[in-house]
Amino acid sequence: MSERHSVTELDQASVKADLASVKTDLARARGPLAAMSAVDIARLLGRVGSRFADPADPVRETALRELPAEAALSPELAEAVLDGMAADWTEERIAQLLRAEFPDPGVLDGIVERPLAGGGEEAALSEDGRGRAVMAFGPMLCVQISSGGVPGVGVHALIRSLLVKSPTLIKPGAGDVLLTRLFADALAEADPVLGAAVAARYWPGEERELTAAAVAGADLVVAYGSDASVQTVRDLIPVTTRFVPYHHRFGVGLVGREALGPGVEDVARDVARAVAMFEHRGCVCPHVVFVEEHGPMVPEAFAERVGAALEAIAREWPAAAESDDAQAEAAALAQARGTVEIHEAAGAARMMDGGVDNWTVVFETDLVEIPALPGRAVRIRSVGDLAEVPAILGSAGRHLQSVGYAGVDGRIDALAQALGQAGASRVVPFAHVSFPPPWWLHDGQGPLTTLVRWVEVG
Amino acid sequence: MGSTGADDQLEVWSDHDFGGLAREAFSWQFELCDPYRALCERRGITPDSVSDWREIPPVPATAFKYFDFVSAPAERSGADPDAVFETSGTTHGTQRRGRHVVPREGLYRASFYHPFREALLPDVERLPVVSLIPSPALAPRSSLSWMVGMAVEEFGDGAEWLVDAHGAWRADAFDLLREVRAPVLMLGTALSFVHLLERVSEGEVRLPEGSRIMETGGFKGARRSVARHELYAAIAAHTGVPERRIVNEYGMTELLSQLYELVLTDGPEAQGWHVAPPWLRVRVLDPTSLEERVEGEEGIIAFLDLANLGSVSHVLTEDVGVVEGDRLRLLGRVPGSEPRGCSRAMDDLMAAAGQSR
Repeated sequence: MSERHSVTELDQASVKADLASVKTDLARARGPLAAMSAVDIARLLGRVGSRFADPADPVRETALRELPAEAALSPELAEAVLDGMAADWTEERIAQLLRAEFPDPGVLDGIVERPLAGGGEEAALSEDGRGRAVMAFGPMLCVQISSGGVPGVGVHALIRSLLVKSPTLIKPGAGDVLLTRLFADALAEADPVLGAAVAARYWPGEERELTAAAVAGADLVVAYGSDASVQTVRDLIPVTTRFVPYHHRFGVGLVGREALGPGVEDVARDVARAVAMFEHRGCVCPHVVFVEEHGPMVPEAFAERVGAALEAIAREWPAAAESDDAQAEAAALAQARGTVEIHEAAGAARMMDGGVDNWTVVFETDLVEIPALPGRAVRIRSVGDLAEVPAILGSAGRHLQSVGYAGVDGRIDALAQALGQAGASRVVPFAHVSFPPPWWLHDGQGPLTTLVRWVEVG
Repeated sequence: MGSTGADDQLEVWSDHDFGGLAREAFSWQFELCDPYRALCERRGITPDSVSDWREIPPVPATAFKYFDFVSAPAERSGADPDAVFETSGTTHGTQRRGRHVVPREGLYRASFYHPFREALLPDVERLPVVSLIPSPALAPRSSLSWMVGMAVEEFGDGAEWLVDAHGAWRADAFDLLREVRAPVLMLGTALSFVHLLERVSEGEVRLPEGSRIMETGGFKGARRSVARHELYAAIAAHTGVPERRIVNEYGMTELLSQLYELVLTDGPEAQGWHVAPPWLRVRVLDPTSLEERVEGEEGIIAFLDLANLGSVSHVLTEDVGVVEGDRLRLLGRVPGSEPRGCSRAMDDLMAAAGQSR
C-alpha cells in the first residue's frame, strides 16, 4: 500500500525529470529491441512469465506474500488471481498469442510478402508480378496508463507492447504496482535488452500534470480505466499520437431454461465464481444475469442457488481482512443493501446477502433502480426468452464487454450475433468469463494488431 | 456546552426524555410514511415492539436518492410540501440526487434557531450578513441556502449575497468586502472560501473586530486536518477574522438539524468537536455489523434527528466519526467509498430492462 501515497508533497519537478530521463533511456532501447526477432522476444517473455507460476521461484513467493495487502485481496483469492493470470504468461501461450495475431510473426522483423486477404494466388500479385509486401511496426515509444483493481493487467499490457517491439513506459493502477514491477525487474534480470525497454512508474491518477508529462512524446498511448480517467488521458494527447482506450466495461450473463434442470448447481457455481473473482472489480465480471422463465426451475430459485454458491465461495476465497478499503466497502454496502431492502419491503425485489460477508444477490421482480452494490454483487432478472436480451442491452452496449452463458445449446450463434450487434465483444461459457486467453479480441480489437502500424511495399 | 441567554433550550435531554420523543416520532413516521413502514414491518419492528430508541430502524442516506420519505397526515398529503431539498450531486458526477421532502418548514426553522444563535451570535442580537452561499431565491432546492435565508431573517441586520446560483461572483463583491466598516457575520462553504482566497490578496480585506465566519461542507471526503488548518489560517490572513472566530458547521440535506463547533463560546479547544442539539442524537456504528461502537471508537455515523419528524428521523450515513458525550469528531467520508465505474451505464441498462417488460 506504500505505493498509494499522494505525491502532492513530493517534488513534482523531480518526478517529471525522472519521467523525461526514463523516456530518453527507452528511446535508446528501441534499436536493440527491434533487432531481436519477435519469436525470440515471445520466448523470453514466456520464460520470465513462467516464474510467476513456479512454486519454487522467489518471484512467485514475493508476489503471493505481498499481493494481498497490495490489491486488498485475501491470500486465497490473491493466489487464485495470480494462478489465473500467470497461466497465460507461459512460453506456449505467448507464442500462441503472437501467431494468432500475426500468422507470420516475421512481419514484425522485416518486409514479408503476403497474399491479399481472400484473393487467392493471382490476387497476391500486383500488376508487375510482385507480391504485396508488408511489415508491421510497433510504436517507437508506447506509454500505457493502466488501471487498478485487477492485478496482472499491467503484465498483460507489457507483454503486448514488448511483443511488437515497443519500448514501454507503464503506469500500473493502484493495486497492480507489485506484479508490474516484479515482471519488469525479472525481465531485466533475464535479458538486458528487454529490461532496458521497460520502465514502470506509479503516481496517483489525480496527478494530471504527471500523466501529461508521461504521455508527452509517445507514439502510442494505451489507457485503461473508468470513462473519466480514460477521458482525462485522451484529453492530453495530440492528434498525431495514436490512442487505444479501454474504458469502463461490464459483463452480463445469460442462463437458458435448458440449464435450469440437472446440473443447475454447477451453473450457479460458475456464475458465482465469475462474480467473486477479482472481488467483482474486473470488467469481465457479470453485473446482471438474465434467467429464462418457463424452465424446470423458476428464475428466483436460480438466484437462490447463486446465493448459496457465493456463500460457499466466501469460505474458499474469503474477502480481504479488515482495512480502510474493507471499511469503506462495508459502509457503502450498508447504504446499498439498506436501500434495496426498502424495495424488497415493497415487493419489488428480493435480496439474498452474506451479512458480514460481502456478497449480495438481488433478484428483481419489477423495475427497480438501486445504487451500485459494492463487493461481490449480482442482479438477477427473469426474462421470457433470452432472444429479448440483445434489445434490452441496446442502450448499455457501449459499455458492454463479456457475456457469460449456460443452457443455450443450438441457439448460441444466433444469440451471439445479436449480442455482438448490441455491443458485446465476447460471448463465452460462464466458466471462461474471468480469464480470457491472451489472444482475446480485447473490447473487440486484436491485442497486438491494434498496437502496430503497417508499411507496404508495392 | 456554552451557556448564553436563550440556552435552556439547549440543555442536554435525559435519555428517557429523548427516547420518549423519538418513539413518538417513530410512531408518527411508521403510520404515515409507506416505504418506511414497509421496511420496518419487514424487519418485524413496530412502534409497539420498540423499547429503546436505538432499536428504531435507520434509513441509509443513499435511500433518499430512490424514495421520497414523507410523513405528513392525510389532510396534507395532497398539499405541496413547504420545501424539497436536493443534494448537490456533484461528488458523484452523473449520479442521481437525493431528495428530502419537507412537508412543513416550521421544524427546520425551530431546530435552526437556537443552535445557530449559540454557535454564531452568543454575544450579539443581530449582525449584517455577508453570504458566499447563493440566496434561497436563487437556489430554492438547497437546504444550505434555505438555512442562510433563515439566518438573514432571524439574525441579519441586512444581507449581501456575493454569489449567484452557479457560484459566480457579483461584480462589486470585492469592492464591497474591502469597504466593510462594521462587524459582520460571513457565511460560506470551504470551496467558496478557496475561491475567495484566489480573488483577494492578503490584507486586502480586513473585516472589523467582532466579525465571525461560519464555514461548512469543508472536510467531508477528506481526512485532512492539515488542509483544514491551512484553510483557516489562509481565511484569517485574507479576511482579518482570526481562526478562533471561524465556526465549522456540519449538516446534511437529509437532516434538518445542524451541529457546530462552539469555538466562540468554548474557545479553541472546541475545534474539531461538533456539538449536537438535544433533539439530535449521534451514534457511531460498526460498518459491517451495524452494532453500536463504544464511546471513543471510530465508526460510521447514525443520526436520530427529531426535527426530521416530517420525513424519517433515524438516518445512517457513510461518514466516519468518533462520539464523546454529545460531541462528534468528524473524520470524513470513508476513503474509497465512491462507487466504481460508470453506474450510469447500469442505470441505462436496468431502465431499458424495465421497459421491455
